[in-house]
Amino acid sequence: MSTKITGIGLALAAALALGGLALHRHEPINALWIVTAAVCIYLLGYRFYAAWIAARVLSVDGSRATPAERLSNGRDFVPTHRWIAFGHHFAAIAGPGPLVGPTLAAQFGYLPGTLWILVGAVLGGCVQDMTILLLSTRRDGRSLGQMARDELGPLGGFAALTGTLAIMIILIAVLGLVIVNAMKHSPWGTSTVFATIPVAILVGIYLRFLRPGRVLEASLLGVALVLLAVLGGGWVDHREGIRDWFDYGALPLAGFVIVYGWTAAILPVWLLLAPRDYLSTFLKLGTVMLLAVAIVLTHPQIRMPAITQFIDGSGPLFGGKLFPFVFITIACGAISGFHSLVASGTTPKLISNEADVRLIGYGSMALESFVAIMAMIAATLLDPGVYFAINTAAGVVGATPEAAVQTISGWGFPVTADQMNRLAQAMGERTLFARTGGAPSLAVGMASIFGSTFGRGLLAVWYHFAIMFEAVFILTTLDAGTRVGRFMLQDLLGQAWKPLGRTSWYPSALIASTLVVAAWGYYLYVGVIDPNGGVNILWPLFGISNQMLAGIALSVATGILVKSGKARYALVTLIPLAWLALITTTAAWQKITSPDIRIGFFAAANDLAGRLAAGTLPAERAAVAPQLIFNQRLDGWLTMLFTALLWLVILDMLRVCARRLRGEPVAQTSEAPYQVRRLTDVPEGSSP
Amino acid sequence: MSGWRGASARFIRWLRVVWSGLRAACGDDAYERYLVHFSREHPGRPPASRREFYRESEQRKWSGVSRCC
Repeated sequence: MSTKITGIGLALAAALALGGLALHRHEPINALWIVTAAVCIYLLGYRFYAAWIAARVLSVDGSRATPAERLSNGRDFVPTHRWIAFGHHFAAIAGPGPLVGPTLAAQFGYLPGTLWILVGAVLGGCVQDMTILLLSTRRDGRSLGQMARDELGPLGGFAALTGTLAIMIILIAVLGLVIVNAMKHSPWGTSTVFATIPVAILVGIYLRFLRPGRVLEASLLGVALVLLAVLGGGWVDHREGIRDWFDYGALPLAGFVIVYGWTAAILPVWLLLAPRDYLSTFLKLGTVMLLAVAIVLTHPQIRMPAITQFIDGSGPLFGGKLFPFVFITIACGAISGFHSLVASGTTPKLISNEADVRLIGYGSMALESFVAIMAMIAATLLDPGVYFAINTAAGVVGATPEAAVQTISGWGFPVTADQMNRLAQAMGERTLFARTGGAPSLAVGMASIFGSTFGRGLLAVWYHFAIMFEAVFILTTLDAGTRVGRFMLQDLLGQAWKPLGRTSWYPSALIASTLVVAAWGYYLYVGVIDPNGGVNILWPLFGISNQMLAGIALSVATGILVKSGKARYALVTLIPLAWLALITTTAAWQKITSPDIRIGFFAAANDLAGRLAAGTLPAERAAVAPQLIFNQRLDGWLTMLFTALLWLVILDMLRVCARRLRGEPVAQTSEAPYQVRRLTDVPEGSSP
Repeated sequence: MSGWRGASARFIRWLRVVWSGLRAACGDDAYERYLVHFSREHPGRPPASRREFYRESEQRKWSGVSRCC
């Protein structure tokens, strides 16, 4: 009875909030409408849809022993209290993706992105995460790649491995580009980000030699030091001689990120990777909570229109129509294929009761999606003119402030050079024009929210706190991703020559790390020399690859559901799969065949090649044109490969399902046999 | 007076729960958990030292996908 009353209450609140959004279409609306609608929709999804899936579709069984209990070893298989496991899982899945995607998608207006973040998460992303988590828990915590191989066949396994490696490389490159653009000619930002490296090393030494394993005290020490580094950056910025040491253009910063990534990959993990991850986890959780509180306290007005004229495909941040590019751009905030790797990695080894997959799988993704909503609010509370001035590349709006404000005001989003100068000054930056990549505009948005909650005098500090916060976990993703990429590459190379597959053999580790860094370093370099900012090319490619990985995960899930006699419920994963297949294939088709040079890879390459041959390019553009032409063609081929991989897996899954439905033999299920659960109660204070 | 004492005892108990939750959430108590597990499953054998345990768990954590986009 109480469930029904809560449900009706939530549905009414959601309807009211959505109605509020609909009625205020042509006037500024308050962010609280969006927050209320989002929270109600997540709760409704969790309370009803997730509960129904857990009970009917997945037949979650609280009496069944989990691998954490059966294989308990006190190390990685540890029965863990559900809230602690929730914290671990959320910290693992939450990354910079849901911050960047919504910021870019805001060029279409606040409404399309917000709706997809909500609908995509409740019906797609959360379902994927929970389903894969349960399937892996039922299979001793096997990885997505292994499940694909066991349940579908070697093709599925190969596609999952290749897809993961490719997405990793593009992800790291695009994140590297985001961080380079945030540090470009910003001595405050650069010195703060640089300072986080020795702080992490210090924490690493503390944890290794001084007080082994005292994670909490070491993390608190490290967080205090990086907060000091933010203030220290302000000091650096005001000292004439010193500030020049940290004032770099994009190319040297890209070089620094590449060398840094390579060094971090070959150094032992305890020195840099592990300690910085503790810092970033603390900062991430702290900032997300702080942001939620600040948004509710300040309840800012959304200034961006609900829908802008750029839904026709002429958007300045990236080209392409609302369909399918809003879905490709939002990516992680709605559904992220990457999560299926964590949901079939460390988390299933912590689950102490199958019934917890609803909170841990569905709940964590709902919270991640809420982070995306907050990023959308931070982007759209800015004056639209300011938003476009920060996020549009000089190659699109013109290199001088006068040209930029004229172009942007011409779109119907008035902004003045004076306004931008005052804003840059308040944020402690030299300029905020053409700071593409999403991080600076998010930081301006966050600084305005924090500034109006906790004191406006500190705007510049809040801005650089936000930059540092993004940088710290972008760099963690960069190191961790390079390392995982190295293991996958060693796995692949080992099939060619055995010794290369030995992960502990130093020459092999060195070769594989260098190859992985070279791959993303190449994309980062091309992104930096591209006058259009590079993010406009790389982010859609990342979105396509991430959604493709989600498609592979949902194919594995659908295949297993049909094989285990649940064909009548298979629509639960089949509908999001069909939608993802539709949007990724449409996006890929347009990126490959579109004659519009702002969308089609080959069209852009041919256009540039033609202008290079005709000699109509300015000298500095002609110098980098050959690399840009090669890159556009490479991206085109890569997009074809992604699409082919996705369809191979889908067809393979359909083949297995058809055989099962016709009663022909299929590979046996790899589900571990039922064993009764003996664990009675897992105390709050239990963790891996 | 007794009401005040009861409230403060409740507050201290609440603080303890928060503190142990915080320790668990960041893995600060992992070694203590391991010792409990080890002494139960392998009585009489010497467990790994705190330093060894921490090194090994770090190595394991960073050999797989533990961070996302």
